[in-house]
Amino acid sequence: MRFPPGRKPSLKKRLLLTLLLPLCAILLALGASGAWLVHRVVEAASDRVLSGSLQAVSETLAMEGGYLTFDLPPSALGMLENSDRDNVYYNVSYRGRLITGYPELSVITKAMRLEGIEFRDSTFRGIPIRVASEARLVPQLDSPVIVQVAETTKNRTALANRMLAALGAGELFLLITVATLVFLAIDWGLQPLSVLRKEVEARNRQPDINFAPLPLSLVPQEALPFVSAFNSLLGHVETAVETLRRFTSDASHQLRAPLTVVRTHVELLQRHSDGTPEMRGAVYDISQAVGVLQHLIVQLISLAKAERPSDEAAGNFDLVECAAATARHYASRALTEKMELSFETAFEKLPVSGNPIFAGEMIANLLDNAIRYGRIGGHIIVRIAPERGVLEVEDDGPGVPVKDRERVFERFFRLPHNQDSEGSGLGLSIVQALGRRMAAVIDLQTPAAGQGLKVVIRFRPARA
Amino acid sequence: MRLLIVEDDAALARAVIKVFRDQGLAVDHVPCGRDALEIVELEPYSAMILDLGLPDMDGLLVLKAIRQAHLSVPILILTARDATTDRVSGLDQGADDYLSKPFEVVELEARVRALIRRSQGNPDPVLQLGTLKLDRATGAAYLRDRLLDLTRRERAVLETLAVRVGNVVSKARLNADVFSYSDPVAPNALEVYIARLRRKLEQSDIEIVTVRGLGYLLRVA
Repeated sequence: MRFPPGRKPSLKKRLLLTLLLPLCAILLALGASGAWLVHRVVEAASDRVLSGSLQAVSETLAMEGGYLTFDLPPSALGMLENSDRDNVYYNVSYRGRLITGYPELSVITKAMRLEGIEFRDSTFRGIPIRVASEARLVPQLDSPVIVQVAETTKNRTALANRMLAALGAGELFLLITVATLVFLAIDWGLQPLSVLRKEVEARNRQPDINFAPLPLSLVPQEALPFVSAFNSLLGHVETAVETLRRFTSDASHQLRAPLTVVRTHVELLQRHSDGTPEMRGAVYDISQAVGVLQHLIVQLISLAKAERPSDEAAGNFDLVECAAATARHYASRALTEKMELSFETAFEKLPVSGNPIFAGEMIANLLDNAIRYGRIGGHIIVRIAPERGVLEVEDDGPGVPVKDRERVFERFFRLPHNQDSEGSGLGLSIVQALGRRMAAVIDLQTPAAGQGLKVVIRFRPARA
Repeated sequence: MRLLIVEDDAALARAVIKVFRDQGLAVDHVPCGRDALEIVELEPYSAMILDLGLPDMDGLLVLKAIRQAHLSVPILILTARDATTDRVSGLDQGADDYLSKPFEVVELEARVRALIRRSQGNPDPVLQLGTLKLDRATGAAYLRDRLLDLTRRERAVLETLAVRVGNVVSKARLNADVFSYSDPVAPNALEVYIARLRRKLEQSDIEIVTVRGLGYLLRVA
């Protein structure tokens, strides 16, 4: 089945379609045969009453003194009285000649059977009527006398219509009930899937993707193949993610060994710089490139490590000590780059939840960025804010435009004006990965002074 | 003085050997753990550089075997691994220092030198920083070979900063090193000594930098 783009195939629509079309056909057939039956039943019942009246009249036919006589007993016509006030007409004829009664009731000229009553539909002054006729032999007469009684069909039509309406209403009720039940049944049947959906959504919010198979106990039998396939896909994804992580980590480790060789030899070459100026320049360029490469490899390993699930993040540590130690470590480098690094704290000790090595690495990456991308003479502040568990790293460098604040966390994303710097483009990815491990929230802001970047990290309070 | 290098990467070994031969050390090199265990007992090494990723056995096992044999040679571990757990377990099992690859040659040199000094039980008493010379044995300080006129406390502050050159020293640490418990100390006493020291070091290549919120740092310009 193909669906126009943008429209999702609906289970309800399909089920309704497959269920309701045949149901409608059945109901139509049922309606048609019902209508026919109603018509027959109503006709039979009304005809019986009509024939009663006819017989009541024809019973009284007699010959008295050479004259044909009959009575119109009130009871005969009273039978035909009804709420719809049908009109009753009669006539009596002999040998095709009207003897008495309404001439508009056509006289029967053909020969009639002597026994039994014949019914026919006709019109009386344009109004549909039902006519009952009987041929009866009267003593002294050689031909039968034909008596006809007719009534208008208001009553029988009304009766048939009432029954048909009841039939139609019943069918409509059935149709609506089935449609409603289909809706309810689908909702009810799909309910276990919404439990699964909630389970998957809950996993999405966790810092580490949980690749454990979905519990099959919740799954309705019909959805079992789908969920099983999804579970096996989860397994594949887990393997792929793990392979990628291991590859990044292994590859980075493997890169380290040759890099160490290159770096050591280059440093030795620089030390014994007895070459031509060009050669010394080349050695300098190599050593710079090796520095960049080393930074990149160390960052890659760091990122791979940060993204590997582990319970190392469980625990408490003193944020003040951790931040101060990291800031101390970077103070010298900041001075070398002609920048000033300072540390402010609103607490003497501030226990928060997480791993001090992770937090130290986060702060180190932020300081590395601040120094790398900052300006000469710039200021960097590491601040333990008065708000509990909040650490800020603030600089007065070029900052990050608001539109790029999401993207700077992406791997290898670098701001256009930093393309020439020797950064790896991984620093903030590492910060984010480590933050996620400790359920810390990271926010990029513009400092109060209006220039630079303020990175705010909210750590979770220490666990008891 | 004799140095043993245990490193399976021949190219790296060549570079490290050259570094320390240039320093005037006698350097031996073995490429695997078994050879290292054999040779370390035979020669009186002043220090040993041990790579953890050896082809025949884990470097940590070599380390363990050496310590079990009650050999006290100072050992610096060199490794491409950098997991914190590795660092801790290496130091726990009797390593004296730890350096991860890739390293700066200067740092390797400095650390090995420190190890050798420690093995001789005789840390070099003279500290030379640029034009500043500090003789910790006598307590005398020289700037461009001219004796600096320092009070006892100024000297203590200078020495504490000088041995950690390039690193931030916290005020708490300085206070603890300079003042004893019985000393009546004004809250800003340290600032006063730092100011005096700065005056005396003016026009030299030695600078005492205030790192706001963290402490002080001595650097050679």
